Amino acid sequence: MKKTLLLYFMLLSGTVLFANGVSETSSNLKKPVSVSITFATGDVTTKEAIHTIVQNFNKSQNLYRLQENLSISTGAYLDSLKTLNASGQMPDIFECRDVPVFVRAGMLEPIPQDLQTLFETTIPVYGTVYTAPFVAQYPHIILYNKTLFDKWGINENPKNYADFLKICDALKSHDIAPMAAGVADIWHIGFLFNYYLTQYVTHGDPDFISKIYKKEVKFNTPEMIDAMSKLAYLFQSGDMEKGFMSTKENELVGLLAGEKTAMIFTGSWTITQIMEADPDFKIGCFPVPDEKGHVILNGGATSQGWALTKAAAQNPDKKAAFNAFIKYFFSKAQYTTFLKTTNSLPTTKEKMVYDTTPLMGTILKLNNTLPKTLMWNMGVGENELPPSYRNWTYKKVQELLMGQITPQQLVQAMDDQWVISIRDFNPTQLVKSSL
Amino acid sequence: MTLKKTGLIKRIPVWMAFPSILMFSLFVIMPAVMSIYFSLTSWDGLSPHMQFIGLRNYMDLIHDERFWNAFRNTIFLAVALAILENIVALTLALILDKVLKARTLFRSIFYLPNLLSGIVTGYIWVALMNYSFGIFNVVLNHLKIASINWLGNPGIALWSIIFVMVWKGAGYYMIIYIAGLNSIPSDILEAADIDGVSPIRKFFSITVPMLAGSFTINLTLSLINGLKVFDQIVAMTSGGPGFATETLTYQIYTVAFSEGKQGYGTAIALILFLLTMVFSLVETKLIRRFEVEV
Repeated sequence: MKKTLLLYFMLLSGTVLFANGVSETSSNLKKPVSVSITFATGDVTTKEAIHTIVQNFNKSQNLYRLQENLSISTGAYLDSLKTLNASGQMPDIFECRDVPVFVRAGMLEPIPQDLQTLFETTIPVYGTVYTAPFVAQYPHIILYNKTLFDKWGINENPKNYADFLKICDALKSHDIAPMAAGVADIWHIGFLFNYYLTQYVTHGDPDFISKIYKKEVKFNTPEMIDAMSKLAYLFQSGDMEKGFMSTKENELVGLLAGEKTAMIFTGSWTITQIMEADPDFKIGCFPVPDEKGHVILNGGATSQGWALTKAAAQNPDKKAAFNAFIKYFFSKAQYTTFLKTTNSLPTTKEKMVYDTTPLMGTILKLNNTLPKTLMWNMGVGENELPPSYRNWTYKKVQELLMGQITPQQLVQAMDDQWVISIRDFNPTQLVKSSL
Repeated sequence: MTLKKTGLIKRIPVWMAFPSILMFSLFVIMPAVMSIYFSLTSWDGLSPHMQFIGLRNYMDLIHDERFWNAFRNTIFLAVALAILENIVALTLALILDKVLKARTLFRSIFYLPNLLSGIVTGYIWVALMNYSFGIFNVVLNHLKIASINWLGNPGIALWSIIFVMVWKGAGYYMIIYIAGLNSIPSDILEAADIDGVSPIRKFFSITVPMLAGSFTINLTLSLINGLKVFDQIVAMTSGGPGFATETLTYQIYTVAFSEGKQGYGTAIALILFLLTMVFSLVETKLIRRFEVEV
């Protein structure tokens, strides 16, 4: 009996030990959770910078494996996400740009409170924060060929708009196109359109779009006609490179570095591209002031950033992976490298200290000291543009620049199109509970 | 038993065709029928809610200046393409028909562009036609001629796209014309020679009527290709400058995907479907009249 009991005990102990052993071994060998991630890959520098952080994250731990989809370019980003969603391949984590669109579709998981505390500013959409913003909006400024400016004695930044036009005239006299813009990419003509709209019409009013919805203001005003006339003048007076209508944004660096133009109006990410094209190229920068010398920069926090889909959030492991990735991405070591590589502006509460070029230092200083406002199409809530309105407007602006329509015709057409566009979309009449 | 066997044998072709019919129904017929319903809705392409709005999308189309611009561009492009592509293809076929040496090599050279993707060829030509760096303008500048904005001038951009499409597609239609030329009985041509018929008269009175079958195929195919051109537009102009090169297919894509109006985009797609059907039927009916049995 004793022998039987002993044998039974030994078997039981063995089973328990073995079971523990198996359990431990399986825990050690537990497969990492696979999480899909995607982001806009239009800009090679940003793509590489994010890709490096994702790879570093995968190497830094064994619990999660981020699987990247690197095939989505910036131009068709929303279209590609819609296609992925329709075919059941929506990534778990993604760079969300059109946040309200995804919120209205009920596809985004709110960002946990502890992650929100990482950021200086988070932008709620319909009252909830859905994204972890990884760059603040870039200021749009003039980047110029400093060597040519020095050679021709253009040593002072413009104090007002007349000074700016004088610089253009001085450059023209040296047989070079003063400026170039990527008009063939409609989003890039948006930079100049937005400059004149902000500087001369909205004066940085963040609720301008909401006022149009409420019929308090309209586009067809003398200020808007004046602003659009100034924009058209730049293109029709020879201040712009002659082939502007077919010039794409990615050609601007070549035009500047190849001395086919002396200035481009763009964001600070272009600096990296210029330095890669010609490491010896000397770049200068200045913001474009209005007649009174005032400057309102494009900039500030946006609702765009990393987001987790609601479907992925149903899986606690994927949710944990998202939280871990966000903390890793915005850790000092990773985020400073990202900012430095892409010449981006930080979004975190924690101050990110890193070596930067004197030029980027100047841009950061301008960004910290001058008044800022978001681009007209970056608003959320009552300031969100109707879905097709931005692209339609930029196409019409192309017609203005070619001289096919007048500034008066443009602003009247903008008002007419507005009426059509808001028939199906008017956020001022959206009931929050319906979301 | 024999009857049963005969019945089974008779049904074999039906069963053989069944997988194809099933797939075609599933992936072509069903989505086409479903799209009729989608065209009657307002939907952003993401939201789970689709709102039925009746015929409003179609009513809006009637008043949409952008739609009519795309409609005009589509018809212009399709007709110009069908005419030019066939003229170039027929000319190449007639020349190669007379060439004795390296005929296969030339056929391959002319056919080669057809094997490349529309997007790839589009980007290649964008580089060649670039205003500042493109080879075309470099050559013009060397000849002391001012640069031309091939893709940025609204009066030229659509012609630039047509040029690239002709370059890409003519080789394919050339092969069909060569096959047609080879099928013309040589005794008829020899008889015409003996009778002293001039080459021009011979071409219009013998070659052209006898090529009517090839004309039917080629004109129909090139017209349909012109109506549904998309990749070259995307790669070369994105519908610009302004709306100058926007066609119905490109408008369908931008409206439905980028601008979140899937219902409206589907309504345009159905109009394009009807347009393609009407064009093909009318054209086939017209050209068939001139076909000659060999």
